[in-house]
This record gives sequence, C-alpha cells and structure tokens, in this order.
Amino acid sequence: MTKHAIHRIRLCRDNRGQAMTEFCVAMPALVLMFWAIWYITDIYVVKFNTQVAARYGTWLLARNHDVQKSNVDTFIARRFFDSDSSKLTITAQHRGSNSAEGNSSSFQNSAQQNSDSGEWVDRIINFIGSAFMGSDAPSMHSLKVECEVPLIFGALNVTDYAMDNAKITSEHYVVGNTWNGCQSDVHDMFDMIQSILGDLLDRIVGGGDADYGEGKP
Amino acid sequence: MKRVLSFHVKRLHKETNGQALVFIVLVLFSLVCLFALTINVGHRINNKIQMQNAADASALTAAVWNARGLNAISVLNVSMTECLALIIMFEAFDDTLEYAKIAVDINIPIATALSNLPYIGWLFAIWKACLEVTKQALNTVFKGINEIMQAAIDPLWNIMKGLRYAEIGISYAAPAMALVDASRVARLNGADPITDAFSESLTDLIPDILEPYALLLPVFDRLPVKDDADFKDLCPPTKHGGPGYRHFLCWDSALGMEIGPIELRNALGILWATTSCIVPPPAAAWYIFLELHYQALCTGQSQSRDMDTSTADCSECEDNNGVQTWRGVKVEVSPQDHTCTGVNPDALTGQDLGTRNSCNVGTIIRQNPCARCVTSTRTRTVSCNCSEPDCTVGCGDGDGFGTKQVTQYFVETWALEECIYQKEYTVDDTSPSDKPAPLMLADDWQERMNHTAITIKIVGDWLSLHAYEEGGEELIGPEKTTWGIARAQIYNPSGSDLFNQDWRVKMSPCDLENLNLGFGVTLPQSISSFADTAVKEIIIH
Repeated sequence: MTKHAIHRIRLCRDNRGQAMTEFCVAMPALVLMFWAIWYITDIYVVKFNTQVAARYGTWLLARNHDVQKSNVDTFIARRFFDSDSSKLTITAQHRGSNSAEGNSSSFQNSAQQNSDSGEWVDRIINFIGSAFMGSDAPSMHSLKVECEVPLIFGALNVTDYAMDNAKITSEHYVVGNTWNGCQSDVHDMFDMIQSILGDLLDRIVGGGDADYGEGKP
Repeated sequence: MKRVLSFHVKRLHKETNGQALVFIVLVLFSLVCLFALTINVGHRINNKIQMQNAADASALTAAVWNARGLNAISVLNVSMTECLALIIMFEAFDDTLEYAKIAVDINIPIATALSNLPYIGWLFAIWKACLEVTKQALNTVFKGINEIMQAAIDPLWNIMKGLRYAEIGISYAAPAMALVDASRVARLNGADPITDAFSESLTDLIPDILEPYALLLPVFDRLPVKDDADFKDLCPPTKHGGPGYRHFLCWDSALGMEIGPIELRNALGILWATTSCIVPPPAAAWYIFLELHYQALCTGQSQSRDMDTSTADCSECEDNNGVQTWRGVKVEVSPQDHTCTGVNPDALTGQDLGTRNSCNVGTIIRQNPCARCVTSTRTRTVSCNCSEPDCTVGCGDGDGFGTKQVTQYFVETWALEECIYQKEYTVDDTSPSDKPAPLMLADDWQERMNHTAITIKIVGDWLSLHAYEEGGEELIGPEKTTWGIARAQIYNPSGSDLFNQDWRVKMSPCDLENLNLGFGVTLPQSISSFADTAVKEIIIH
C-alpha cells in the first residue's frame, strides 16, 4: 500500500470536519430559503398596495368625473407608494374614451371578454348622460396600477443584467357616476327639452353621428 | 447471534455519522412548508381583497342603477307636474274668461245707466266705452287664446299618460339593468360564476350570457314605487298643517314656469289686468280660479276646509289603549277631550297633566305640538346658617350650621319628539281622479333601498393540502372558495320623495339579519341570524 493510498483511506474514515462541511453546504440553501420567504412576502405587499390603490383611484374617478387623472396619480403615489412614482404606471380607462390615456380599444377588449353584453348598456347610459343630463361622464371606469419590482436572486439583482423588472399589476372596474347631482328645477325642463331638440337638430343637419362615448378622464 | 445484535445496537448508539444530515432535512422541510404557507396566505388574501373589491363594485352598481331609475322617475314626475300646471292654468283661463264675459255683460248696463248721471256721467261713459272694447277683446283675442289652450289640454293629459307609462317601465327596467350590470362588473373584477360555489358542472349548463357572476339580493325587486297612487295620495296634509299639494305637487315651482323673465301665471295675470275695467277685475279672479283648480284637481275637494291644523295627533306615540310612553312616564290621553292623565310612575298617577296640546311653559314646548308639562314639588333637607329663621335642626352643636326642610318646585317638561303627525285624512271617495298621477314611493320603500352583492372566487392552495385531508380528492367546497359580500344603500339627502332628483348611493355595513331576497320574500329570522354569523366568519377567514 502506497503512502498516498493510506492518506486517502484515513481521510475517508476520519469524520472530523464533517459537520462543518454539511453546514457549509446547507447554509446557502437555508439563507436562500429565508430570503425567498421575505422576498415573496414583499411582493405580496406590493400586490396588495396595487390592489387597494387601483380600487381607490377608480372610485375617485368614478365618483366625480371632474377629478383629474394626474391628481389621482399623485395621490396614489403619495398614499400607497411612499411618493415614489418612478416605478409606477397608472392607466385610466373608461368606456368609449378616445383620449390617449384611456385606450378604448384595449379597454373594450378586456371588458368584453366572454361575449360581454355590456357595450349596449354603456351606450344607453352615455346617451342618457349626454342627451338628457348634459353630462358626458363615462358609464364605467377602470384603473390599472402597475408597479415594477426588481428581480432579485439572493444578493444578485438580476435586473442589472439587462433583464426587465417584474411588474405587479392590479386593475379595478367600477360604474361611473353619470348623474352627478342633476337637480334640475322644474323650470329647467323647458331648457332641457330645448337643448335636446337643438342637439338632435344639430346632429341631423350636421350629418355627424353622435359620439356618446366622449368622456372626461 | 445475540452477541452480534447487541454489538450493532451499541454501535448505533455511539455512532454520530449522518446526525447533522437528519437535522438539516427536517429544517429544510420546515422551511419549504413555511415558504408554501407564505405563498398560500398571500394568494388567499390577494383573492380575498379582489373578491371584496368585486362585491363592493357589484353592490354599488346595483344601487347606482336603482338610484338612476328613481332619479329618472323623479325627472318624469316633475315633467308631469309641469304638464299638470299648464292644464290647471288653461282650465283656470277658461273659467276666468267665462267669469269675465258674465261680468262684462252685467257691468255694461250699469255703466250705461250711470253714464246718464249729471256732472260725473262722462266718467261712466268712459267706463262704458272701455267695457265695450274689453268685451270685443274677450270675444276675439281672449277667445282665440282660450281655444288654443283648451285644445292643448287633452294632448297634455296624453303626454302625462305617456310619461307615467315610461315611469312604470323604468321601475322594472332599472332593477333588470342592475342585475345585468352588477354581474358584469363582478366578472370584470375577477369573480367566478356564482354557480361554481356549488358545482362547476352547473356552470356548464348555463349559457355564458346568463351566467351570474354576483349573487344580488334582492334578486329582482321592482323599484319601490306605488303605481296605484292617485292625486289625493300625493296631497296629504303636511306635518305642520296646511294643504300638502303645495309641497308634493311642486305648487310654486310648477306654477312658476317662466316665459322669458316673467312667470307664466303672472304673464297671464298681466294679460287679464288689461281687462281691469271689469268690476271686480278678472285678474283677481284669475288667481282665485288658479288656486281653486289646483285644489280641485288634487283631491276633488278643498283640503284646508277639512284640515284641523290646531290638533296635532300623537297617536303614533300611543298604544291601543291610548297610553303614551316616554322615558318611563306613561300618560293616558283621552281620545274625547284630549286631556292627559298620569299613569306611571306613582307620583304622577291620576294627576291632571293638562291637555294634549296645551302647555304654557317655555317656547320649546310650544314649538313642539306633542309637548307635555308637569308641575310638581318635592321636599329636601338642605344645610343652613343657624341665624336663618327656619334653620332649627342641628343648631345645638355650636358650629353655627344646621339643616332645614325646603320645598322645591319643579316644572318638568318633556317633548315627544318621535311623535309623528299621522292624522288620517279622509278624502271623498266619490271624487277619485282618473287622471294619470305621478308615481310615489311605496310604503315600504326604506326596507327596499339596500342591495347586497355576494361574489365568489375558487382559490386553489399552492400545496393543495386540503385535498390530502379529503383523501387526495380535489373537492370544490367552502375551503376553496373565497367570498366577498357588500351592501350599498340608496338615499336622498334632499328629501325622500319622487320629486327630488338627488337619489345617491353609499356603501353600508352588511346586515344579513334584515336581508330582502326580493319578490317580497325575507329570510326567516333563524336562517338569517345563522347566515349573518356564518358570513361574518367567512369575512374574518
């Protein structure tokens, strides 16, 4: 038996340092597991924040259509995300809108999945709103709140290596307030009838089709 | 053999190889479970929030649709009121014209006779000339205007009929739209079909368009309106007395329609003022006929004639035996002469407490028609200075102070604030109006103003631990279903009647113990209490 072989057998039989080796192997796994629990919890907290923010913002917009979307953005960032709006993307949509921030086609696609029958409902409401109530408030509002979270793998920030951040998204839909405190006195009825007739006449004479979906964000 | 076994057992006890490995496996397993638990809890809370949001939005949608319906009916009611005001004005115009014709025919012979008087005869001659011109005007201009007005009355009634049909249609359409839109909003907010709570196969049987994504309670309830109401129902005497039509039919508002800067009734009044050489002047008759026609159309009889404004009836505060209870004090009120006699407590038993409405103390009591007052005395022992003449007890101890008995007088007053004016007003049944009256709120409208929405979502666990509890079978059951429940309420801050177009909605606390299922069905008390508790537990869960 050579000297080298004797050393090797002794190393195999010797159990000194075994616990240390196992500790060194297991420790990263343990740390990674602890970190993962913390990271997942953190992501859920962001998710809950986006959910509540989406709901809050949508209700603000739906309750009073004079509220500006930019104010809602600021409010959401301040109230739910420690005024850090750099990672936030807030998209407001409402039925029939043509504005840039209210992407009507995507809204209607998402709103009418599963053969949704809601479009005619909104058309009726928007017609009543625009023709009778003098209000162009949309019948339904939606707010999508996206928050970017960095992809972290342990101590490694994956996003530093040309990867996109993960996006936590929540969206909420709520009906709009199309009435908005219409309290016409009886005397206003004549004015209202007059304005409706005038409006209809304009449309007939002008030849333009009615755009019932026009609404303020 | 036995020795060999004993050797191995001893070696197992002494051997430490692999000890740390077992420990690490156990710790790793625990950590994996913790990891799964974190995800599961987050997942469940996430879905719970989502469902609560969906339920809130869904309940709000249902309430909004019903509020829209009530607002629309209010607008149409106001329109009907305007038509009504026009009809009344046109009919009053006709009566005033008839009156003016008769009056001018009486005035002319008088003016002719008086024009023969010496010295002042020329004045009556001018009057006569004025009357003749007026008569001509009555037979041409006024007659022409009147013919146009009378021709417009029937179309106006027909417009009112049409508006009433529209109101009845709205009373059915608004809850139907609430049902459709509440389900749509629930789906957009991530809810699963409500039938999934029972069986997914049930969902397959229902067409997509009919699939309910929110359970709305009441399921379908017509707007709380009473469509058999007559004009007389709209004109009850007001709480503070006085004819009610002035308020309920928007008396001033409807008659105050403006043509340019002048109110229509005043414009017509000015027109009649041009005939003022008729004595008495038709302009005065115009306003009298206007009032009389409004009253006649409203109830078929004058309300103020039968209205007893001096008596405030507190029957709301009385039981069947005429006993009122207020802060433990019972007062018996005689239905004949309205005298009040104390019943309870003993100190008041048999005491004459005055009459139902008489009270001479304090403006507060006078302002409240249901106020009572009691004058009473009591004797109290108070400390006093021994130098006072009545201070006789306890003055012998040398401290200079004693006690004396004093009589205190109290005027106790109380007001039955909850007492509501409920005087029954009898209207002549032989004069019901067959004309289309505006819709009014049903008697039980307050109980029907709440809308509860329940949404569900089937939520699977990451580890599906519950499935193993059920013998490895995937079961759809409450343990996998997240619920959301919310209630929205309709209210009107401007006054709860169907002339105020200010019906709004707000979220309110869930109260399943007073759940209205719709179709006039309410949940039995035992079941509703159980449901309330169960849902509260689900919400906590």
